[in-house]
Amino acid sequence: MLADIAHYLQLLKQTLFLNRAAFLELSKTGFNIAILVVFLAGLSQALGQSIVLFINKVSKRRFFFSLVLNAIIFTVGFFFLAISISFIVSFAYHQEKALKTVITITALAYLPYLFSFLTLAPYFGSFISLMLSLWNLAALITAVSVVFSLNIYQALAASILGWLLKQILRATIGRPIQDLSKLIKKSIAGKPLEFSKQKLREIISKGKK
Amino acid sequence: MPDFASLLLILSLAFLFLASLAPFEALGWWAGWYGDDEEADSPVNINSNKDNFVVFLTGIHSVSEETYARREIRLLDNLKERLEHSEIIEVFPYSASNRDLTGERFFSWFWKTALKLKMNRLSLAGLVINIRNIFQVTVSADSRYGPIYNQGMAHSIYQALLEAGYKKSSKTPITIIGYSGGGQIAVGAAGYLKKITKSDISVISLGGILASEASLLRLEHMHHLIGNKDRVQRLGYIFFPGRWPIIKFSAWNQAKNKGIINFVDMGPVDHTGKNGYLDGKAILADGRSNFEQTVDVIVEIIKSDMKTEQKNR
Repeated sequence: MLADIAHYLQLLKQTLFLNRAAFLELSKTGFNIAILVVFLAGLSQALGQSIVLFINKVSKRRFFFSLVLNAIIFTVGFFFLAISISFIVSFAYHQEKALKTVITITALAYLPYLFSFLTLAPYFGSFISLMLSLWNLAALITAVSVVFSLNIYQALAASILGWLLKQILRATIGRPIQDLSKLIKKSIAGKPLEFSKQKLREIISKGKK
Repeated sequence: MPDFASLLLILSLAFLFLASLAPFEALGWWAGWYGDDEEADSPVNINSNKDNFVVFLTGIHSVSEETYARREIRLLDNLKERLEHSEIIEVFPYSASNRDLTGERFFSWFWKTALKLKMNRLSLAGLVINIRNIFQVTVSADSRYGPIYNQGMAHSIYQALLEAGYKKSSKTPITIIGYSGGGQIAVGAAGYLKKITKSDISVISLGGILASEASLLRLEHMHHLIGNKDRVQRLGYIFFPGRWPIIKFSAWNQAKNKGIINFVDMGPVDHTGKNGYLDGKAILADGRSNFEQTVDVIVEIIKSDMKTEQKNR
C-alpha cells in the first residue's frame, strides 16, 4: 500500500516536470488519482481566489463550504474540457481513445493548479497565476501529444481548440448549469455574491460598514 | 540530502506559502471574522487643544504598538519635547485588525518568544519578525489587498487619535511619520484617514519603502527623507513599477508633478543601525549627529506644514 502511494507520488512528481513516460503510465492506471488532482486543484484555486468571498463578507463557516462548492464546480468545468479535447482530436486527427483515458490525461495536466493557492501571495500573485496557466498549457500539450501520438503543434492546436469549444459549450448548453451553480453559491454563501471587478471595487470603496 | 536546486525550490515554495498567508488577517478583518471593531476607549485627554496630531508608525522590527527600539523611543521623546503644540501617538502598523503580535492572538506565545530571543540578540528571531512584517507591507502595497489593509490601518489610527483626544469633525491637521516599512503603510492609510477625518494630512516617510499609492494624490504633502547610503528605501523604487519615471500616469509620478512629494536629502546616512537616520554617534559635516539632523528635519517640516495649514484655514 505504502509502496503504491510512493510510486504514484513519484509518477505525479515526474508528470509535474512534463515527463512523457509518467503521463503514459498514469493514463492507463491513474484515473481515480487524476480526478482527485482536479478536485484538489479546484480547492486550491478557490482558495487562491477567495478574496471575492472575503470582500462579500461571507462568514467563516460558509466560507469553507463555498470553497468546496467552487472546487466541485471547477471539476465539472474540467469534464467539459476533457470532452471537448476528445471531440476535437477525433474530429481533426481521426484519433479515438477511450473517454476515460482522455479524462485522465487532461486531469493530470491540472497538476500545476495544485499550487493555485499561492496566487494569494501579495505582489507575486499575478505572476504566479500566469506561470501556472502556462505550466498547465505545457502539461496539456505534453499529455495530448503522448496519448494521441501527435506532434507538439498538433497537440497545441487540439488543446487550444478544445479550450475554445469548452467556452462555447459553457456559453450554450452549460448556461443552465452555470445558473444553477450561481444559485447554489448564493445559498451556501448565505447572501447574493458580487463577482465583477467593478462591483467588488465599489464594495471596498464604500468602506467596511 | 537534497541537491541545491531542490533546496532552492523548497525554500521558494516555503517563502511563497508564508506570503500567501499574509493577507488573511486583513481579509478576515474586512469580513468581520474577528468580531465588530472596537470603539475607541474614553479619550485620555478630552480637552486636547493641540494644534496637530502626529502619528508614528514604527519600522518592521516591531511586534506591538509601543516601540521598544531605544533609538525610536529617543526620537519620540525629542519630538514630544520640541513639538509642544502637537500630540504624538504610536500605532502598530503591521496589523489591519489593530492587534499587537504579542496581544490576543493564537500565536502570541510565538511572537513573545521571538521578541525575547531578539532582545537577547538572536538575530534569527529578529529576522522572523521582520519577514512577517515585510509581508504586511506588501499586502498594503498590493492592488488587490491594499485598499482593504489600508482602510483597516486608517480605522486603527482614527481610534488611536480619538483615544488621544482628537475631536471628531475638528479637522485638526494630522501628520503621519512612517519609518521604513511604516512609510508605505502611512501613505496607504493616509488617504482613507483623510476621508474619515476631512483633516489636512501630511506624511513624513523616514527612509520609507514606498509603492505608487493612489492615496498620495489625496495628501497635502508627502515628505520623503532619503539618506544617500540608504539602499533599503530603494527597494520601493526597484520593486514597484509605478515609481519608475517611464510610467507617466502612475499615482507616484502624478503626485511628483503636482508637488505633493517633497524629496529631502539627508546626506550620507544609512537606513538603520550604525550611521542610520537615528544614530546619535555618527557625525555629519555640519557637526550634528544623524539623529539630531533627523529630529531637526522632522520638527521643521511639521512646523512649516502647520504654518501653511493655518494660513489656508
